[in-house]
Amino acid sequence: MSTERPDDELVDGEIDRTPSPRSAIGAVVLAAIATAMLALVSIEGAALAFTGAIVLSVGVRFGRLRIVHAGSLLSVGGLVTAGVTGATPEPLLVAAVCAVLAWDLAETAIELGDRVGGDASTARFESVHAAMILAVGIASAAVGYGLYAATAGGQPTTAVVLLLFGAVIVVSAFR
Amino acid sequence: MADRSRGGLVGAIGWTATSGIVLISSGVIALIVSEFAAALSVPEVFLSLVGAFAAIQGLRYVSGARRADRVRTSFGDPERRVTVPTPGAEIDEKTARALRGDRSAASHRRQLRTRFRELAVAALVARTDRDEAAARDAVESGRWPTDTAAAAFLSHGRFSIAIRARAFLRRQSVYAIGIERSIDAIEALWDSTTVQTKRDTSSNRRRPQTRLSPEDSHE
Amino acid sequence: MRAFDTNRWVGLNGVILLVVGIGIAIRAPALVLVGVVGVGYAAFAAFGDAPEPTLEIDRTLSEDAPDPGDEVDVSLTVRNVGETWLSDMRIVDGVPPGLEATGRPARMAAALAPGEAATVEYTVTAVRGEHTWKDVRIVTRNPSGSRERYVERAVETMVRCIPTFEAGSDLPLRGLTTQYSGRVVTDVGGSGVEFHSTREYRAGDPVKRIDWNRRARTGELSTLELREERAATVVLLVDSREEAYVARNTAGQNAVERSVDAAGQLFTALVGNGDRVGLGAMSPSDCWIAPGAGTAHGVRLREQLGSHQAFASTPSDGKFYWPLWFNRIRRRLRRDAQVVFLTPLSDQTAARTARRLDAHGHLVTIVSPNETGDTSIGSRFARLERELQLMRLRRAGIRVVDWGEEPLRVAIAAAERRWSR
Repeated sequence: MSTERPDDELVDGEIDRTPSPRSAIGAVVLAAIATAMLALVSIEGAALAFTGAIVLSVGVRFGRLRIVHAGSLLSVGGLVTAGVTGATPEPLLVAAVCAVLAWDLAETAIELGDRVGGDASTARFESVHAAMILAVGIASAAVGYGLYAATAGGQPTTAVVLLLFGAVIVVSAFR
Repeated sequence: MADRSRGGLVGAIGWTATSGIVLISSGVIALIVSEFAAALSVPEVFLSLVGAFAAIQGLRYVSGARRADRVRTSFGDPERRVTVPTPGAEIDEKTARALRGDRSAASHRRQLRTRFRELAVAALVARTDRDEAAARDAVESGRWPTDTAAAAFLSHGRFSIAIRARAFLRRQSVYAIGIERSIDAIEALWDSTTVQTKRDTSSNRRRPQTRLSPEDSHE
Repeated sequence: MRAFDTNRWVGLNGVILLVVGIGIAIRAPALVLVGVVGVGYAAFAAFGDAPEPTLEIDRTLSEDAPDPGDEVDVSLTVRNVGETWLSDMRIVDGVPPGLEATGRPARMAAALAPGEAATVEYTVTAVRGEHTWKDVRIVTRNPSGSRERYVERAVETMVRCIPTFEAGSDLPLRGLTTQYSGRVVTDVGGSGVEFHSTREYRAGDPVKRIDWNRRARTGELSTLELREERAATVVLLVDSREEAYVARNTAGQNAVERSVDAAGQLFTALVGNGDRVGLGAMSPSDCWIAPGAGTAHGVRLREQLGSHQAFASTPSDGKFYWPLWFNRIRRRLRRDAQVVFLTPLSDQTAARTARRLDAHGHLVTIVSPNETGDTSIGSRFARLERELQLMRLRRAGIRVVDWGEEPLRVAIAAAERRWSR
């Protein structure tokens, strides 16, 4: 069992360790969509998310997990900036799901390339995995939006806050 | 994390999860019963404080998470043929350890020096008219080889100021220079043709430039 | 094996707290909503453990007795015969250590619903020996990839690749076996090359041996008796201790593989010459075939060279005790047996063995594949040490064929020229 593989020099006949191209391209596209969504509501947020998308693309191109993480954090920064500048929730929700998906695909691309190899047959696995992550995102966004719509008339932000904090605590307790 | 010795819900899932569930339940009630929400509503300042506290905790988690490396099974490369070492790999490994500069480096240097001395003495006996005792004496006293860095390494003597300066500039260990020069010197001696009758007929094709033998048995 | 955390989603909780906290502090409901999405993923990451897979694995080969160099297509099919969904699996086939998968890697990623199967196909290039596939290595994860489990599954597959060991017809052997007691010229009349006597023709004598001059002179049929040569007894001894497994470059053949190939060529040529040939290994795994002659013996020798563990492309397990081994080989070697010792001379033990066999009266010839190079300090050191050994062995009267990258017959011819000087 080991963590990051040290970068060996390439020898003839070595297994191709480059990130899986399908997931990598998916990650870049989704990061771009997240940026576009933010651009609808906040220029500053979109600018940050754009930088994040570039950094993530570089990271996934060269198979460096840490660079991917830095890019993803920049996207989160973009989301926060957009929220702070008073963005409407709908594009922000879409952007959030896309950002998580972009990160996950980038990480999957790198991990697959490293352990299974760029030439191996992974297409079916990758699509199943991406669909699953997308479904989770859509479901939670729907729940969130439902709550938002239900409470839009009244004032119970307290309720939402309680729910959220409770959920975070429960989830972290079960990790 | 969870204290399993307690009974009930707390015992089953632990304090943290229990408080989380309490929070969620009160949130659900607050959603349904607006009076409860009103009762729960707290001053604006307090809310801001809680938010700020949560954000700071979040930042701490995130920066902590950056140190958490991914853990995964490494498969190795079963597709590749098993590799065998090159001859002399153990000398290369010893050299690397001798230059690493940790606690065992000195002991590895000593072992290397012994191996190199044996080789130097054998080469001197084979290629010059010295007998074994004279050859050993020449190596141990630093009279052979003429290269000062090699002689310093083989005789365990002091490296000259010039070599130290060069090592410093190249950010190298003086021993790296000493070891490299030693093999250079022994190799040059071995491949020289001073004693024709003892000419070695090896088929090493890679260093024809040092091999001045007029007739090699291979065409 | 037990499942473990991969740390894949570590940090998400922190991001949620950060986003929601800011959202609450500045009263931005949109950010709190983003937090909800995060909580969804956090719950997903906490959900489920990496499954223990129930699999049916099948491996088929296009050919299980290929010739060296042949490409063998391998197909590995993994079927999920359990009840659980295996949404995230990495499968790597345990290609035998002596074989190399060329082209596509022997691995795949799969998501298998119950009853589904996935197949990976790859190609290996056959090399001499018996190769057994190792366990299939499998990693399963839960859907989010936050937990991982490593399992191994055994599937018995073996490929046997036994070469024909073609000897070059021009392999010069005289120097290897005849110098002192080799093919001894006897006083017995029979078949041979040198004239001994003549006798009356008997039905069945070969036409070639009829004395036609005498027939022309006197009209009688008589048969030439030629001086019979007694066959030499030669034992091919291959050094296959772990120390002998060295190679100048990792892509090429290692010293033991070259030694075994050389032994194959020599034995074919020696048997062809009518010598009695035996086979032994200097190895932790015992291998011995007493010298013999005839087709059946040749087949046995070929089988052993091709498939015995002691001649494999990877070192045998177990510890090698030289004194025990040497006593055994001493007892096995007949007094007049000559030894052709195939060794890279990578350490002192090989040279000592040659000298001790020589001291016991056997004619020892070393055939030494040279794997030393000049790429590093260590390899230069190893070259000098080996050449020093060659020199000492030659001075001790032991004949050495120093075999570089040239064909074996070239190396032997060069060595013969030196011996006859």
